[in-house]
Amino acid sequence: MILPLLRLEIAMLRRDRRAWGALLALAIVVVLSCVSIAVENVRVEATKGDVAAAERQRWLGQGEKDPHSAAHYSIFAFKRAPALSALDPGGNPFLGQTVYLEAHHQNDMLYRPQQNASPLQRIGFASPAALIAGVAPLVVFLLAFTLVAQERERGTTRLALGAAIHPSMLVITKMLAVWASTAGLLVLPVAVMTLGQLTLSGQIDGDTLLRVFAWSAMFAGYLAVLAAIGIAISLRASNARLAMTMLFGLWIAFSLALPRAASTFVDTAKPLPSSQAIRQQMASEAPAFWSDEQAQRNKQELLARHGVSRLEDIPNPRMAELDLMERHSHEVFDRILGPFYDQVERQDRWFALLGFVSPTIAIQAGSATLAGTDFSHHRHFIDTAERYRRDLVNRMNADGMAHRAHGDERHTNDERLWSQIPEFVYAGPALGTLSMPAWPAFGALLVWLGVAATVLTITARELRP
Amino acid sequence: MTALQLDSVSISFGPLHAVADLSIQLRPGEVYALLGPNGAGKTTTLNMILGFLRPERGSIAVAGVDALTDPLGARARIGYLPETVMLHPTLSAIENLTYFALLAGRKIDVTTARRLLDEAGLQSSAHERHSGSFSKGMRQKVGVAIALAKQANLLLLDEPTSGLDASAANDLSNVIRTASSRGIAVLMATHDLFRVKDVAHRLGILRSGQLVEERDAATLDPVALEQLYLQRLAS
Repeated sequence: MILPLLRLEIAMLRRDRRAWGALLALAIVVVLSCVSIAVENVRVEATKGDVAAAERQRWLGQGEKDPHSAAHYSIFAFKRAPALSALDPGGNPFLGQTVYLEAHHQNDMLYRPQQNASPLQRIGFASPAALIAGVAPLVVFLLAFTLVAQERERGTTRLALGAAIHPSMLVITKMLAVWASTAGLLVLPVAVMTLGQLTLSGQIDGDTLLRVFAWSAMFAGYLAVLAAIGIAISLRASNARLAMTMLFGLWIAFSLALPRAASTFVDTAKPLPSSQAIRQQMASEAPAFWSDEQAQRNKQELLARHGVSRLEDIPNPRMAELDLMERHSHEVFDRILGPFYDQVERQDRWFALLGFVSPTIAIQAGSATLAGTDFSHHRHFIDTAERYRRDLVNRMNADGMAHRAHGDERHTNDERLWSQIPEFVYAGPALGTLSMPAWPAFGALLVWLGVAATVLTITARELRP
Repeated sequence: MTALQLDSVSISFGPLHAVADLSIQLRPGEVYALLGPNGAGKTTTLNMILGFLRPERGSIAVAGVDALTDPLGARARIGYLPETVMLHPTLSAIENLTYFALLAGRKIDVTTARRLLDEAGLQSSAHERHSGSFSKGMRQKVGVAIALAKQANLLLLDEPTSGLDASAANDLSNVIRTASSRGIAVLMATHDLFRVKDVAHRLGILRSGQLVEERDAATLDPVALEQLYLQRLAS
């Protein structure tokens, strides 16, 4: 019985040109944003693939040289766009897509897509996730208002309740109509398009399927929360005008005011050092290695490590010293960058926790995690690239240390060594294998679903014509 | 079994006794007109029968179903026509009928919907038109069709002829007579003495929530009915 009712409720929504027009307009923008990001991703990924292949050839073809020089010659490593980045690019546009891997330095990432972004992308309203999280509440509330508040004002509800339907059933049908319309037009098309694109590009696997499903389910849940709240407010408000005012106010609070307030609160409560300060600290601590005092300590360490009393007795003292330097820099980078990244993730966790204040915050925090575009996924790339860099540099230094070279002598090697370094291929982590700073957001959304269902049930119970 | 049984039903709104100690009994097929001025308690009585208001005292049963303990069960046996039938303006007459029938737990096909609308007197050319363009009389006819679709034991009509032209009011009289002939009891709250005389078997006059007169309609001619009504309101 509920399906034919639902069909008629949706027909009523469809025939209300203002509300349905708003939904269709938003659906079109959501689809266009998804297509636009996907097309741009294909272009950029093709370029990255070409450049990465050229980089590999450059590395292999660098000719005969001192292995440590090869470590400085090094390569660029590219971060592939996460499979779901067309749904939610998250921090990706701001975080850089490639990093130059070289001895002694853990470099910042380069090329931020935001630098080439369209004006719409620059104001942050150009992804399906941003549009659904920020604009959909307004459309959902408009649909709920159309289906409930206007009906009550018109007097249709009286006739409906006189028909002997349980008020809960009437309310749930209306809520489902709003939910099905919005989820069907806003979430389903982009989820299907993404699955299609992933299938065509051969990126489909268990993890991407799970991510698309989870992302869609989360947004469908978000729309259900909004639909339930919209219906409940439309039913409880004493008149349609008040209902509209309350719903509009709630949209401003949920989608505009609270996310900004939450971001400011987190920035204030858990401030981050500037990246400039972090770079400065790394720059100042690494050269300290070169002080006379440190040089003496290093010399003693090298002698002890090789079991000799003179540097000349070490097969390749220059390379041994460079290797010691390299390992020292690893410790410096881990000591400075590790806690810094932990702080960024703590900020993300706090922001996700504030999802209990607004479902929009919860969806913003959770979406990027499921799409693989949050900071923890970015950190996974940074760590993977850094491990690759260290393996490469250590392998070069090890080759140098294994061959005698004193004074102006230099041991050299060629493609036979360079080809022993595997190509850099990055695969993002599977869902659930990383620590997820955004996990409170999922809990918050579940709580919001529970609260919305409870409010709707109570409202339905008290429904009077 | 009685179609409707009200026993000593009372309800107050603050100090105002909206309905006091009201008892009415309707047999299947009987048409009962509840007369009274505005504020006499007619609509409040209908609201209590529908379960929209809960009486402070007394009992209400619709076709044997206790309306106080099982309001939904009672409502399922009632076809209700409010004073102004407000339909969904973007749905056609057929869709509105289908929708409200579904709400009442009855799934009807298009053929049945057309037959019911015909029975209610809505011209065929209006069956598929959006009800937003309907006159009050046309909406009323769809409302009647909705009530018929429920196959109810009792029809509650709240000022059914208010605002209708003579032709539409006459159509409604025919519908009431048809319903009655099928064994459906009709309780209508109205000011329309002419219509009462035309279709009602019995009538009751409410004043300040109390039933001050109850008669067989057949015992009164139109003039006598009007005089009785005015006397009862004045006394």
